[in-house]
Amino acid sequence: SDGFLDKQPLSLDQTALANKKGVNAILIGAYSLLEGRGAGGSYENTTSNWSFGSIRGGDAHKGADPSSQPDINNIERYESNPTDNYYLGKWRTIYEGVVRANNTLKVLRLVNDMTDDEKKNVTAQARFLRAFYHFEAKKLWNNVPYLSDSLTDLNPKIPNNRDIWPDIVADLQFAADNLPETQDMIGRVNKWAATAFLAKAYMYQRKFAEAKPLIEAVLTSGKNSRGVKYQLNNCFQDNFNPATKNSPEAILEAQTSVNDGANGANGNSDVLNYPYTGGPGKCCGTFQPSQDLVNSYKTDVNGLPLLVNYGDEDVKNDEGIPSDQPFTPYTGQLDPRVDWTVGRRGIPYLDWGPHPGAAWIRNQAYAGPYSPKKNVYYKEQQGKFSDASSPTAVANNIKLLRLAEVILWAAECEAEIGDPDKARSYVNQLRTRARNGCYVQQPDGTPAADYHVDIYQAPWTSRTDALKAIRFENKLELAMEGHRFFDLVRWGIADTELNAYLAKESIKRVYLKGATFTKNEDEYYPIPQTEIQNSYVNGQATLQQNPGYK
Amino acid sequence: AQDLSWNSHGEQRQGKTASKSMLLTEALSNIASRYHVTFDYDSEALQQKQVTAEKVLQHIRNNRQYTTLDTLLKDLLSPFGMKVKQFGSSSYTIYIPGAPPVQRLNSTTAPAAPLPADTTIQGRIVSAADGQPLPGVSVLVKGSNKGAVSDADGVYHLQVPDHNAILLYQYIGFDSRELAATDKATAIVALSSGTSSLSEVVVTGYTTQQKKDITGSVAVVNTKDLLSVPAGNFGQQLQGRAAGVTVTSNAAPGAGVSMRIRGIGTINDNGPLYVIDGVSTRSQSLNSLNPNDIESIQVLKDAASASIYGAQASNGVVIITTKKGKAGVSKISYDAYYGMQYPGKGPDLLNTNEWANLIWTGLKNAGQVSGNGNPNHPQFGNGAQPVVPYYILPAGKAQGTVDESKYDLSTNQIVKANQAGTNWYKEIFAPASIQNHQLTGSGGSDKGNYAFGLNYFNQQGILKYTNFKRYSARINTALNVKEHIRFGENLQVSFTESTGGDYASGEGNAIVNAMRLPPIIPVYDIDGNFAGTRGAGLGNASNPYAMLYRGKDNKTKGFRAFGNAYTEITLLKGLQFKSSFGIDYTNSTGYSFSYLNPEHSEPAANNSFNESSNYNLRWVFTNTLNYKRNFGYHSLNVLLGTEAISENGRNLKAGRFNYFSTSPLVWDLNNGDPSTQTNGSNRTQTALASMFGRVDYAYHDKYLFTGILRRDGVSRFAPDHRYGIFPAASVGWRLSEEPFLKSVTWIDELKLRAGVGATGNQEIPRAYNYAYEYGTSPGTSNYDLGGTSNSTVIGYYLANLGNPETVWESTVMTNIGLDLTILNGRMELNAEVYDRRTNGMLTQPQLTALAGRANAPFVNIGDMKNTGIDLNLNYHDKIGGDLRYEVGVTFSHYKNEVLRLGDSGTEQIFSGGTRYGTITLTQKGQPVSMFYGYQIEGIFQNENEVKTHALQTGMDKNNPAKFVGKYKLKDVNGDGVVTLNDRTFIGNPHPDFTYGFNLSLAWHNFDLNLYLYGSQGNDIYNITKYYTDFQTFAGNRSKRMLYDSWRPDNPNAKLPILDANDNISNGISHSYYIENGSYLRAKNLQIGYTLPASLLKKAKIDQLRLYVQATNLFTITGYSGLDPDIMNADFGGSGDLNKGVDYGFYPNSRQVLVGISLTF
Repeated sequence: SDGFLDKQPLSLDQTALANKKGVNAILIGAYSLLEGRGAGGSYENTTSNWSFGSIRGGDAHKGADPSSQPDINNIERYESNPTDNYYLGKWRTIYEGVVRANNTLKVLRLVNDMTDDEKKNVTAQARFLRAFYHFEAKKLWNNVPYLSDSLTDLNPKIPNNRDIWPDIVADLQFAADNLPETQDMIGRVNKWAATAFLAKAYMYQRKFAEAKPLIEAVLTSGKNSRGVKYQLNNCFQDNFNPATKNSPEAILEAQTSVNDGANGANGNSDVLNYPYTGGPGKCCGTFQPSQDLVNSYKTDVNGLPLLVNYGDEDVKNDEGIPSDQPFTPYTGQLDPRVDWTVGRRGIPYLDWGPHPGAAWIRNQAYAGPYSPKKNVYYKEQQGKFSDASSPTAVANNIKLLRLAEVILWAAECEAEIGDPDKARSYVNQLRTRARNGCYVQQPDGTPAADYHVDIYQAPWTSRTDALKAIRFENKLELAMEGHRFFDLVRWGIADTELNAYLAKESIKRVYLKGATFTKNEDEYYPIPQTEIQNSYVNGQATLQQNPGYK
Repeated sequence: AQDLSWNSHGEQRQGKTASKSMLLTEALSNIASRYHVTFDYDSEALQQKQVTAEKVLQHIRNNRQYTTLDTLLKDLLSPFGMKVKQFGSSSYTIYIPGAPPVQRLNSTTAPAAPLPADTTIQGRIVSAADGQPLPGVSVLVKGSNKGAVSDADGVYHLQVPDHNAILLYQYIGFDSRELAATDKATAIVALSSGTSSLSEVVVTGYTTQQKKDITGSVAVVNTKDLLSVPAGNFGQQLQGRAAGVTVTSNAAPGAGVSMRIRGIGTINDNGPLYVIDGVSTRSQSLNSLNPNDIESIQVLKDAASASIYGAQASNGVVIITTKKGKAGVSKISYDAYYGMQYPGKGPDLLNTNEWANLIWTGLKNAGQVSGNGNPNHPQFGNGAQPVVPYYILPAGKAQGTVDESKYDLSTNQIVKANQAGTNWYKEIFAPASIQNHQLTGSGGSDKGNYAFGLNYFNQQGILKYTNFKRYSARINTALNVKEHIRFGENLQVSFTESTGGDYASGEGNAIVNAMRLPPIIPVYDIDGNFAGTRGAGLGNASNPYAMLYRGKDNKTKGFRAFGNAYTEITLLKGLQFKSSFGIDYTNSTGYSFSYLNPEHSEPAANNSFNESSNYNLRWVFTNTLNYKRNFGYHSLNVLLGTEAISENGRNLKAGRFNYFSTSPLVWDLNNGDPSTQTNGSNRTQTALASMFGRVDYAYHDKYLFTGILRRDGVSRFAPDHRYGIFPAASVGWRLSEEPFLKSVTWIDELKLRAGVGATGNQEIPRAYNYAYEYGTSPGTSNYDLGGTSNSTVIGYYLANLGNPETVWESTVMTNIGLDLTILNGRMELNAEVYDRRTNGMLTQPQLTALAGRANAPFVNIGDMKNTGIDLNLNYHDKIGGDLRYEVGVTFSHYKNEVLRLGDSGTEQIFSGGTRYGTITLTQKGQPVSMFYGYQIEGIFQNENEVKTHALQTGMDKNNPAKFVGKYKLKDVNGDGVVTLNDRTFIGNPHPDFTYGFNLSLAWHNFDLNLYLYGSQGNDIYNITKYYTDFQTFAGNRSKRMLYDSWRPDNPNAKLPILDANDNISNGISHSYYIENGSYLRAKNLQIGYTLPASLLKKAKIDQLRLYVQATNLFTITGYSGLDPDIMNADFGGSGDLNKGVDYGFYPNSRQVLVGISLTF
C-alpha cells in the first residue's frame, strides 16, 4: 500500500527551484513586497508610510471620519496601543520581505547553472532588499531583530536588544560593492541605489563623514539601472505622475502595476488616500493635509519660506463653506509646490477640474478642508494607470528614494560638517526647479494662485540657520511622501516641533486636544503585542517592548 | 388475570400471592417479558392449566432452587407432560412429546401436518405485556410477498399458499416472531415489547452487537426523539440527546453544527468521524444528509469502541444506519410539518435622540469643542444642544434647505433623518416559515427488502432573504440472491440550495451591522433607494437590510451522493465475508453578485460577480471477514478487515468586475470586464490504508471481552512516519447474571464495563504537511520589474513550511461504565467516567513574524486531558391504566486540561481574532481557550485614585483628570505598572455541565413531549459589546452605554465615562466582555393526537397522528447577547481556540409548527 499512500505534494519545493530561473523567481517574490502588499493586509503596511511617517509627522491628518481607521487616531495622538493592528501588519510584512530575501540566498547556494557574476548580482540584490526591509523596521521601532540567511530555526526568536545598524550597513555595503551599474530591468536595484541607501543609513546614524562622500558620488556619477544619469526632473510634479515613473530623478521606486490579473493588488497601496466621493477614486477621503503644512508654503517678498512665523496666519480655506456657496481661494504668495502636494478648493485638481471643496471632503468639521494629491492619477489616465476593478489602485510608483532627498542630505552634510554656504547651493537646486514655471494652471493658462518662489540669495554662514532652512525645505519638498516623522526623529527635534504643531493645529482639529508628544517615548512605535506574545521562550519574552508602552 | 408484581411493592404483596395459582399461559407470558424470550406453544393444549405462582417468583427472587431458566421451565411444564426446546438465544417451543412439534425454520424436527393450500389464517396480535391488541403489526409469509397488517383490534387475515408456510410477525419496538402456519398459536400471537433495550442490536464498528454485550461506551440515540426537533440536520437534533455529546449550533438556515464528543481532545480538528451505513466520512457538513432517513444513531464515545476506526476516531465516531425495508407488507408513510419561526427581541439600542446625546456628551467630555465651547458635529450642529437635523444627506440640513428636485443617486443623494430612530434589528428579521415533507415506502420479503424515501425541506431564514432548501432521495435495497449470498446498496442523493446574503459570523455580517448602523439613518432615501452612512459623521457600517436584499439572488447549490454497494457471503456456518465500496461525492457551485452601494460612506467602486465550483470524491473500500460461533458457554466473534480510503478534491474560483447590467440574467463570467478577471484553482489528494481486527468473547454471557487492533497508514505524513497502530481492550461483567444477584428481584440488569484503548487523529488541513512548498500568485509574489504598469514578472515565495517529523495525534482513553436496568425494565441508568488523553496534539504553532508569513506546518505540540462523567437516566411507567409516561435525563460533565504545550512548559497559544488583539489563551495547566485579559477592578472615581493606582496604558500621572471615569485595571503582579504581564484568566468557556431533560406523556390517543436543554457554568466572551458599548467604532450604541457609563452622579457604573477620544477602554481584552453564558432552554414541546383506529379503518389508513409543536419556547439566561447557544467561530480550522466567543451570530428562533404523520 506504500504506492497508494505516496501522494506527491502538488507544488514546487526548493530543489525544483534551485536553478537560475527558479532563484530569480524567488528574488522577484522578495522584490514584490517593496510596495508593502502581498503578505497580508494592505494600506496599513505600505512602504509609502503615509500614516507612520506623514500623519505622525504632522503633514496630514488621518482624515475621513472619526470612525475610519481608528488605529491611526492613536498614531496621530501619540497614544499608540501595542494591540493596534497597524503595527502588526507592518511588522509582519517587513519580516516577510526579509525572509523572502533570505530564501533567495538560501536557494542560491544550491544552484549550479549560474556564473559567479550572476550569483553575485542575485546575492547583492537580495542583500539590498534585506537591508531595505530591516531599515523600515529600524525607522519605526528602533529596537528590532536582524535576520541573517544562516538562520535555520523554524520559529526564530531573536531578541531586539542589539543595534542592527552595522548589519544594515554591511548588507548595503556589499550591495554597493557588488551590484552592476546597469541591470536588465529598471526595477532591479543597481550599484547607485545601494550606495544612496548606504548613505541614508549613515544619515540616520548621523555619521555625516561616512555619508558625505557616498552622497557626492551619487550626485556626480549616479545613474539608474537603465544607465541614465540621475538628475532632477524639470517639473516637480513629474515625480508624482504615473506616466513619468522611473524618471531620472528616481533612485528607488516600488514598482506598481494594474490590470495585471491581480485586481489592483500590485498597485500603489495608498488606496484610501483620495478625495471623498465624486472625484478620482470616489473614496475614501483619507490622508488630509494639515493646515500647518499648507501654511508652510507661504513665501515672503523674496520668494522665501517664512521659517519662523509661517503659522501666524492661516492660508485661507473653505472650511464651513458648502460647495454651492462662493469661495475665493487665498490670494497671498505661495510656493507652487503646495498645489502639487495639497488639494484645496478652487485649484485645479490635476485634470479633474477645480477642487470643489466640501463636496469632496467626508467630514470637514473633523479633519479639515484639504485632500491629498501626490498619489492621485489624472483623469485621462483612468483605465490605463488605474485598475479596472478598483479605481483607487493605481500604477503610480511609490517613491522610496528620489534624488531631491539625496540633494537635501548633501546640504545637511555640508551644514553639519562642511560648508554651510555649499549647503545653500544644494537647497537652491530644488528651489530653482520649483521656480521654473511648472505651476498648476487654470484652464486659461494662468497660474492657479500667486506663486512666488525663489532661491536663497544671501550666503549662509550659520550652521544652525542653514539646518533650519534645509529642514524646512525638506518639509516643502517631501511633504506627504512618508518621511517627515522619521526625519524629525533623526534630527532630534520631534518633541519640540510636534508639540508646537499640536498646540496650533488642535484649535482647528479639536480631536487633537490633549494630545502630546512625549520625548524619549513617542519617537518609536510599540512593538506589536502579538509578536511579543509569540516571542516567549521559557516564560520570558525575547522581544522587549519599547519605552513608554505597556 | 392475576397480577404478578415484580416491583418492590410486590415484595410486600408476595405473601398474599405466593401460594396462589395462576394460569400457565400467564406465567409464561410473564417469564417472556422478564427474560426477553418468546414461547411458542399450542394454546389449546395449555388452556386452563394452572401453576403455583410461588415457583415463578422464587426463581426471580432467589436462585437457590432454579439455576437456570431451563430448570424453571422444566419444573413448570413436566407436571403436564410437556417439554421445552430452545431455538436460538431467546425462543422456546413448548410441546407434548409424541404430538407433532411446531415446525421452525431451523428446527430439525419432523414437518408439521400438512395444511390445505390457500387456507386463510385468522388471528389476533396482542402485546405480551398487557394483552392489549397491537394494530399495524406486519405478518408475512416467509419466502413470498404475501402479507397482511393487523387492524385496530390487532386482527389479521392472511392466505397461506402451502403447508410449509412460516409466518413472520414484525412490529417496531417489539421482538419479531416466527410461527409455522400450522401452529395454533397463530390465533393469538403475543409479541414481547423490548421494554428494556438490552436485546437491541446496535452497530459497533464493522459489526453488530446486542446492547447487553457491549463493553465500550456506546450511546444509542432515540431517533424518535431526534426527529421531534425540527431542524435541517441531525446534528442540531442531537443536542443534549446523548450524554457526552456536546452540540452547539448556528441557527442560520443551512448552517452547520459543532459536535464535540467528550470534551475537546485537541486544539486541532475536533469533529467526529461519521459512518453512514458503513461508509465513513470526515465531512462535518450534515445539511446534505436527510435526518428522516435515519433508523438509528450510535455514538462511539470511548477508545475501546472507536479504535476500530483507528486514525480517524480520536474525536469519537457517530454511526448512522439508515432505514431499511422490513420483510412484510409494503408500507407507505408521509410525515410533514409546517411552521413559523419567530425572531427574538433583539439588542436594546438607542433611538435617534439618545444617540445624539451620547455623541454630544462624548465630544464634550473629550474636550472636543470649538470656539463657542460646544461640540461641532456635521449632523447635530454647533449649538448648546445637539439638534437632530431634517436631512442627514446633505449632512445636518434643516427642513426646507434642500432642493429635493435635484436628487441624483450618484452625485446628490438626499436622505432624511429618521427622527424616531430605525430599529435595524426589526428591519432585518421577520417571521419565516419552515417545512419538511418526507415520503417513505418500504417493504420486503425474505428474498430481500427495499426502502425508498423522498424528502423536501425548506427553511426560510428569520433573517430576511436567507433560505435553505434540500431535496433528497434515498433508495436502500438488499437482495438475498442465494441462501448464502446477499447483495445490497444504500444510496442517498441530495440537492441543497442556500440563498442569501452575509450571515456568517464576524463584524461584516448583517447582524453586527444592524447593531452598528446609527438609528438616525432610514432604510431608504427620499427616492426609495437605500440610505446609508454616506452623510458625514455617520460612521462606516453598512445598511444591513440593503446587504440582505442585494444578496437575495446569491446561491450556493450542492449535490451530494452518499452510499455504498456491498455483498455479504456466508462462506461457512458462522463465517461471513463482506465487501463494501462506498462513496461520498459532493459537487457544489456558488455564485454571488456584489452590487454598487452608493449610499455607503466607503462605497464599492465597481460591481462584481464571483463564481466557484468544488468537487470532492471520497471512496471507501472495505473488506471484512467475520466469524461468529458459540462453543458451549463460550461465544466468539472475530472480525478481520482491510480498508482503503482515497479522497480527491478540486476547486475553481473566478470573478470579474464592471458588469454592464446587474440583472441576474447576465450573471455569468462572460458578461464581466475581461481585463478584471481573476481565477484560480487548487487540488488536494489524500489516502489512508488500514488493516484491523477485533475479537469479542463472552463466557457464560456474563464475562465479556473485546479486543481491537488497527494499523493505519496515511499520505499526510512523511513516509517514515506514516503508520500508526491503535489497540484497545475492554471487559464487561454482567453482575446481574451472577448467583448472588439473581435473588435481587428488582435488578433486571447490572453490568460493569471497563476499557482502555488508543485512537488517532490525522485530520489536518494540510495534505502534504511534511513538504516545504513554494507558490506563486499575482498579488502575493509577482512584480512589475520592468516598470510596464500593466504586467508582472512571475515570482515565487515560500508559501508553506513543512515538518517531516510530524506524526499522528493519538488519544488514549480509559472508560469505566455501569449499566443498570431495574424495576422490570422501567428504569435504566447508564453512568460512565472517562479519562481521555491526547498525546502529540497537532496544531500549527503561532510562529513569530521572523519566520515569515508562510503557513506553519502542523506539528505535535502537546498533550491534553479530558476527564468526565456521562449520565443517562430513563424511567417509564404508568399512572392508572391510561397515563403512560417516560422521563429521561442526560448529564454531561467534562474537565479539560492542557497537560503540555511544547517543551518549556511556558508555551502559550493566543487566539480569538479581534480588532484589539487576541482574547483567548491556551496554556499548560489550564483548559483550552480560556478567556484572557485584564481584570477590571472598578472605575477611577477621582484624581487621587488615578495617582495612587498602578500606571496604565494612556494614563498620565501629571494629568490625572483625564483618567477619571476610566477603567481601573488590576495590577496582578503588583509591580506598579499594568502591562501585558498583568493579564489574567478572566473567564472560562467550558460549562460545568450540560444536561437534557425529556418528558413524554401518553394518555389515550394523546401524547406530549417536552424537551429541555441546558448548559451551566460557562462564560461567554461577548465581542459585540465592542461595537455597542464603546467609542472606537462609529455606530449605534446600547442603552447600557448611555445610561450606565460613569458620571460623577453614577459612580457605580459598569462602563467608563463617555469620551469621544477613548480608544483605550476597549482597545484591550478585559473582564467587561465576559458574561455568564449559562442557560436553560425549552428546546421542544410537542403535543400529538393519534386518530382512533376505528375511524381510520374505512379510509384504509393504519395510523394518523397530528401534532402541534413549539421549539425554543423559552430560554432562561442572564446572557445579554442574542443567543447563549453559540457555535465556535472558525479561524483557520482552530475553532476550539475560540470557544465561547460571540462574534454576533445568527440567533436561534422560536418556532411554532403543526405536523402530520400518516402511515398506510
